[in-house]
Amino acid sequence: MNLFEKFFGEVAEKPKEELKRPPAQELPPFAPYSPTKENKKEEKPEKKTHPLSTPEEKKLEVGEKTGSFELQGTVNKVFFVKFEDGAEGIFKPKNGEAFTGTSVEKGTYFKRERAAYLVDRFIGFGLIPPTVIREIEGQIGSVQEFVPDAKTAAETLEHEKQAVASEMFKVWILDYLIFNTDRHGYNWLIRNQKIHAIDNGMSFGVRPGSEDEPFDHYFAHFNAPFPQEMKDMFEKFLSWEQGKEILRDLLLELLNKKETDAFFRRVEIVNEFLAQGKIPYAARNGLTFGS
Amino acid sequence: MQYVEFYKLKNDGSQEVIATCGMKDGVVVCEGDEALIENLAKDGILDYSQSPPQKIFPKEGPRFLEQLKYNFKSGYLNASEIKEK
Repeated sequence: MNLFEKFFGEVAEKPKEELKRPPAQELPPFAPYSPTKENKKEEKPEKKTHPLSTPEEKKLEVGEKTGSFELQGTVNKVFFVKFEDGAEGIFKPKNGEAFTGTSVEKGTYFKRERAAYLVDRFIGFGLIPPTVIREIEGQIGSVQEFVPDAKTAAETLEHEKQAVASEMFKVWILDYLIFNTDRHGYNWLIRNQKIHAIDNGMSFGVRPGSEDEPFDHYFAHFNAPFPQEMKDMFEKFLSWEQGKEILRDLLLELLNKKETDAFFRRVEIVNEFLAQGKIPYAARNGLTFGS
Repeated sequence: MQYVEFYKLKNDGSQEVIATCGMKDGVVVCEGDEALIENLAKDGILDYSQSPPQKIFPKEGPRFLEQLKYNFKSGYLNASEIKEK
């Protein structure tokens, strides 16, 4: 049994429908895993391989492409791609990265899309659709599971945004952890009162001159108590030593050491805020994203 | 007249124009999806030509039009380059 099967074996046996992006609180794959004496020896060499491949990810990683459309109106090249078994994704090839509006170097966005997803997955927030890196017709890039029937935040009215306010708190914390320099008010989707955080390619960098300025839509959450669900998820992640180790290894394949270390420092900062039960407004300038 | 189109991605992978923004008397006027237009007017967009990026609004004219494509590039809702008609 490999590491994937140990983490995801239970999920793989569930009926197909249940594998469709379960709500965050039901995400079972990253429950702390403690190796037993019997299996400890055989799992160790697997650690450096690819321990994280859910059934959804596998479909995107290896599924045969059955069709694709290049989308109009994007600064970066973006494709809608259909795979066998009905999977659909948004493909962003490395060679199509052209946007230079933040400090994050173009040509690395596709790796950051994957890194952001891994962080979300390990913590268990369940905000970012499954995202993998693969080659399609000779071009390497990120493929993110398509979210059908979703509205972008730009198409939603205030009362619809209010209905997902507690989800937005999670997005804030996630964006701080991954230091997403590009989660402006239009870069997320809403479907069935759930947020899907897309467009994470400009994460894990710094935002020159404004590292201390959270985006407007986060301000409502200063001084608000951490939702218990989010607190539980984060504490579970913090106590999962092996998981943090695996995540570090996976991030180091996608980011440089400085960026990876900065992420783990932000984890510690969030932990301090959790102990306080809220993020006080006075700490606004302490939420620096720099490495 | 200069204008920008907004393309909404549909479930079958095709795209549909749901709004347009164009210059009128020096300011940007938008038509189409009501929520989108309301949000653009109320929340503005980020001007990535500034460091750090600053908020700009339709009244700022061509600069607003030019920056739309940098704010809407996810694939789900894209803004075109500036077009002429």
